[in-house]
Amino acid sequence: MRVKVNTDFGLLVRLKQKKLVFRKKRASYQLGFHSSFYKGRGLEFAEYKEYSPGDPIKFVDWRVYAKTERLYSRLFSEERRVTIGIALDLTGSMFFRLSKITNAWNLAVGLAYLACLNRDKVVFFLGNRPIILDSIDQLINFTKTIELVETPNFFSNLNSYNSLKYPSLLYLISDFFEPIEKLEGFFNLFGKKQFETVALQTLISEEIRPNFEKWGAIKDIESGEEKPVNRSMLDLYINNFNKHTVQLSSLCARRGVRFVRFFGNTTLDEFFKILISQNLVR
Amino acid sequence: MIFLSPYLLSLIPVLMVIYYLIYHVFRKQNPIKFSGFLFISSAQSKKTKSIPLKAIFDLIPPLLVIFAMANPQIVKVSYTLVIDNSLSTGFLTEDGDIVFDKIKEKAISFINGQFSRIRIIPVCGQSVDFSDQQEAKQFIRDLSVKYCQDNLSSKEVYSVGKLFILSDKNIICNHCDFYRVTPSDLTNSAVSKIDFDGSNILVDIMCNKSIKDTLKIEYIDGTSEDLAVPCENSIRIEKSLRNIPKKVSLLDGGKNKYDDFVILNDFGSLNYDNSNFDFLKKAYSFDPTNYGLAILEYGDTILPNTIHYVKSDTNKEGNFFIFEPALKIFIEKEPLKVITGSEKELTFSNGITIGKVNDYDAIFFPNFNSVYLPFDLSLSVSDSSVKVFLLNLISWLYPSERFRGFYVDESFPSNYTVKINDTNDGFSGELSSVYAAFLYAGLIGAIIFIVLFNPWRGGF
Repeated sequence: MRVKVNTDFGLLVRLKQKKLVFRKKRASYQLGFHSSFYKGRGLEFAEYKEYSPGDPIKFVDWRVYAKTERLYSRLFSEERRVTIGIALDLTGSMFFRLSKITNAWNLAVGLAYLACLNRDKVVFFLGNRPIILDSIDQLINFTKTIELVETPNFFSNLNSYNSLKYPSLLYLISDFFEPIEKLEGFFNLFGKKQFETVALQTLISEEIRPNFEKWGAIKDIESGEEKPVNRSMLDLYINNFNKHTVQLSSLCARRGVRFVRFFGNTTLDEFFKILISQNLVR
Repeated sequence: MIFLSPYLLSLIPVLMVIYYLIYHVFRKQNPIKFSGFLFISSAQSKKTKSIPLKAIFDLIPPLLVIFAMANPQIVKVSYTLVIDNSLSTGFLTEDGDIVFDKIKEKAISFINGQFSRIRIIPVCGQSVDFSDQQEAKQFIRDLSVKYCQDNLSSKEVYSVGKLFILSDKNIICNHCDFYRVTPSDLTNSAVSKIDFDGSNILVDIMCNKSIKDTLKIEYIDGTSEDLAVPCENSIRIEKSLRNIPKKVSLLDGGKNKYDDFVILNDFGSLNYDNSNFDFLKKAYSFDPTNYGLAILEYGDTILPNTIHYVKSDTNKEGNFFIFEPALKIFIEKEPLKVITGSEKELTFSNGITIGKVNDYDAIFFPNFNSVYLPFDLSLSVSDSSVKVFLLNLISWLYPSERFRGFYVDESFPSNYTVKINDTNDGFSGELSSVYAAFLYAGLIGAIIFIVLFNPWRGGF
């Protein structure tokens, strides 16, 4: 399936004052706006260091010298740029309705925009090959020309993310309509890495309560398998769906992955407010 | 009553196919592409495993359809009719009819009903299965009152379907219905014993009331004698005979007309009918294990009081051994065997001419318990008249005190309640093979249908 999506640039304007929040300090050598565990020049004081010959004189704290008659240099946390991974699930289930994939796409673009605002590097995973965006201009140009193409095996493609240098934060945008056992294997793999992962589940209302009675029969959007459905199967579906959600939440909690659900009736603005409330954006 | 043919069962697979097509083909036109298919398939698999009872309930609708269509066929039933034709059914009813005639009438009315198979078991006779009404009716019409060693209580009743017993007796049984015809008057007299030594005859007559009977003795030369017999409980008549007796009858011997005559001998003619033969056979019991008879071969000219050498010259052995299973007569007096090439001297003394066959004498030799038959027995033994001849011969050869009269109980019945040990289970339905084939095909089809497509669970 191939879909041309419309990017909500108005959302980007409304997100102009926001910033992504990190829990772990992991940065590249390139300078940016995120404080890192590197000590040196910066705005945020980190610690004192006993002066040694060759250290710049301007970092000597003379007040401490006056009290102790010993020379100490002030060290600052260096502000570096980080790498933000945004993985958008483009398997068949995400194309169930246009609104579902559009919302997911605009959510991804919104997060990428916030990253670019902070001069961070964005790596988009939209299939087999990662796409690296360094600036807002590149992001805008990218969104103007993008055409989303259905790809199989979303989670197995993400293995390429492991090879990136200095990963800091990975956003997974998906419906997570996979067997829990498969997701568990995936999260086990990512849990060993030293970067932060946020799982954002995007759903639409028809997936939460499908109209089986009206539909009569359904066809798996990915495998093509068909089954007749009726009203009596709805309870079973809802029961299984809720169970899957609980298991997914539990899995994320166990693996240190932050999990947020994005319901179909929620607008993107509302969803970003949810992210703010969850301290993922400020 | 049949209002659905078993062939309609063949519609079940057709209906299934139609049902399948409706749900499979028509709904297949517009299936909705859905992302949450995962939860449906897992829900289904889980449900099948955890709630097997539901699957059983799913089977109920097609099974009900099958049985609803099949049930009318089960009303086509099987019957077993036990018809009492023992001597006691020869008594008269109040209407003046013979009890057995009324039993036959009722039995034929059963035949008029719908049945798939009927087994008729005469108390005196062999049971026969019928699927054709007319044949069964004719069989019943041909039945007659007989004397036999069997009686209702001793009869093994291997029944099929519903068991009905028609008798003059009161029946106690586990799973049967009975129809009773009660005789009005049991006044009776009958010959209970005959002794015959070749020149004199002793006839014992029993009666349960004071009856004036007439004993009629018929000879093989066609002559007869009538003796007035006033019977009071019992009486013994001794009479010197003019000739070999052929038949002894009681005229006006009470209310049972079927036990009033006894055939003794009839060597003058071989043209006996089987009914007389049967009666004789059943009027006296012949114990074949104790008494034997050797029959000399045809071709040896034997005269009384002569010495005869039985020899085997070529490949012929003298074999005086007869076994006739059809007659149930087992004659196994030590067979007189002559080895090939040897001879054996036999003195055929005291030979008695017991009859003539085609102007040749049939001679009995008491010393050897042997009889010379002037015909080839091996070729003629299947002839019914020869059977009669042989039986009469046996009855003559052995004095009648060797025969035991069993018919007293039947001629003078006292205990009129009989308990039947039947193997009947009371189930009257029977599945025809065609019906059963369709039924099982329908059942198997329904099960396969449910297992494969499971329409109630959104299969297909």
